[in-house]
Amino acid sequence: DLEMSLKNIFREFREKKDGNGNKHGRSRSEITPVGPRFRNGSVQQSRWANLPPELLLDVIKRLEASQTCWPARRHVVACASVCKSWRDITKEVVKTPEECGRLTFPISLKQPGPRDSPIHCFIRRERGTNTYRLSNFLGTKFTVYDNQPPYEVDVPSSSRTHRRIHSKQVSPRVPAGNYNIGTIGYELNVLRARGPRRMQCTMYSIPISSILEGGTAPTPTLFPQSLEEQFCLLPTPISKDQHVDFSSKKLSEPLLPVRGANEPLILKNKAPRWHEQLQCWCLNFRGRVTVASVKNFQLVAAVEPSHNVSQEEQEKVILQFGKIGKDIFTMDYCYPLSAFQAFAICLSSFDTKPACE
Amino acid sequence: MKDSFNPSIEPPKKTVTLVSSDGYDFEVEEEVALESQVIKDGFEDKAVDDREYLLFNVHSDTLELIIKYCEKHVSSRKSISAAAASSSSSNGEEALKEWDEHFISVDTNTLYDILMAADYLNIKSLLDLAIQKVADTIHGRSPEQIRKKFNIENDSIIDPWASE
Repeated sequence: DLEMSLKNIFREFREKKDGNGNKHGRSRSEITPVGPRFRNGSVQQSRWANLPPELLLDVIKRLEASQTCWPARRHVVACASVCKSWRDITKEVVKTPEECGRLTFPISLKQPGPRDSPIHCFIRRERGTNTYRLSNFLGTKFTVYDNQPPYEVDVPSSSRTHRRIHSKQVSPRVPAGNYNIGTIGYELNVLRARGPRRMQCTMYSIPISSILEGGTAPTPTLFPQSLEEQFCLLPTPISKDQHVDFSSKKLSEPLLPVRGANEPLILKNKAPRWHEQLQCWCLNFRGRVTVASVKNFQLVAAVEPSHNVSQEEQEKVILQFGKIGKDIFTMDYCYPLSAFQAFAICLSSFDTKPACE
Repeated sequence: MKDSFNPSIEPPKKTVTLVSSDGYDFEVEEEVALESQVIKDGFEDKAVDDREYLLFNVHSDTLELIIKYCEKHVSSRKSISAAAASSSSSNGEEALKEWDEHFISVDTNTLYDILMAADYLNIKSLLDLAIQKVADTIHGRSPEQIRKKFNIENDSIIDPWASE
C-alpha cells in the first residue's frame, strides 16, 4: 500500500544519505521504549489510528474544550466517526450534558440537562416544512412518544412492534414513537384573552424524586441498536431526528399509576408576577426572551407538600421557552429534562389553535 | 578530553551523543540534550565520557528536526532572558512562537514522527506543540476528510457524513 511504498522510498533515501554511522565500542545509554505501545508496522491500520491512547486523549480533549457550541462541536463528533480507536477515546472524553452542560452526540439530546445552569438553545421555525401534527382537534392535549423505552422506569408500550426500520423511510405521518413518555395539557381558557397559557406536563419517564437531592432521572447512553447506525441524522432538523411527534390517536394513558418517589414529574407554569409599572403580569426570562407572545412560558415542578421539595427547587425554572423574533425562539432547559423532552413540550406551544389562546 | 580548571580558558562545550534508530551519531551540546526530560533524569549520575544515548525510536530524519527545535529553544531562552536583564525591549517570545508554528507546519507523517519522538524523549513544549497541531488539523474536517488526511482506514460502520 501507499504507506509501505513511501517507507521504502524513505529507506532508500536514507541509505544514500551521507552520515557518520560509525559504531564505537563504548557503552551506550539506551532509552528504551515503554510498554507495548510501539508496535512497528505490525498493524495494517494507519499509525494515526494506533496513536498511543494518552496522546489521542490529549488531542481530543483540546478539541472538545475549544468547541463549546454546535455546530462547531461537530468536530468532536467527527473524531468519534473516524475509526474504532478514535471513537473509543472520544467517548471517554465526552461527558453527559448533566456533567458538562454541553450537547455532543445525538444521544445527548435524550440525556437530562445540567442541574445548575440551563442549556440555552435556539429553535428556528421553518413554516414551509412544519411536519409536527396535533392531537385532539381542539389542540389542547398532546402526547409525546419516544422510540426507545426510558431506562429504569416502566412505561407501557403503545405499539405492536419495537423494531424500527430506517428512519429516513418513515413517513412523518406515522406516529414514530412507541413509548408514551409524557402528555402536555393546555387549559382551555376562553375567558382570558391575554397572558401565558396554562399548561401541565406529565413526564412519565421522569420520577419526581429526580428533583430531590441525590435523585436521578434516566440517562440513556445508547440509542436502540438500529438507531445506533443512524448517527447520520445529526445536524438535520431535530424534529426529524428525534421523532418528536404528536399522535392524533386517542391519548394513551400510562397503565401503571405510580405513587411516592416514583410518581411522574409534573410541570406547571410558573406563576407570573404583577408588574406595577407595566400594569401587566410578567415573567422574568432573564433577557432570553424579548418578544411578548402567548407561546412564551416557564415551567416549574408541580409538587405537593408530601414530596418534601425545597422552596428553592419549587421556584426553579426547569424549562423556559419564548420568542425573540419572527420564527426564532429560545429554549432553556435543565435537569431532569432532556433536550428531546423539552423540545417536545415547546413544539406543543407552537400550535395556535384558538382554544389555547 | 579532560575538563580544564584554568579559568582563563573557556572550557570546551560539553557535548552529548545521540544515536538515532538507524545508527547515526548526533553530537549536541549538553544543554540542548537536556531539553529532553528523559535525558535530564539521571544525567548527573552518568560519567562524562558515557553520555551517549541510543534512541531506538527516533529516526535520524526526525532526530535532526528535534535537535533543531531544542537548539532554537535553548538559544531563544538565552536571548529572551538577556533582553529582560538589560530591560531592552524584545519580541523574542513572539518570534519564537512564530518559529514554532513554522516548524510544526509539516506533513502528517513528519508530524507523527515528531509527536512520537517528543513523547518518547519527554520534551514537554514540543509535545504540546505537536498535539495542538494535530487538534488544529482535525478541526474543520469531516470524518472522511480526517481519514484521508491521516491515512486512516474506516474500520467502523458508522459514518455520519457519508451522504454528504
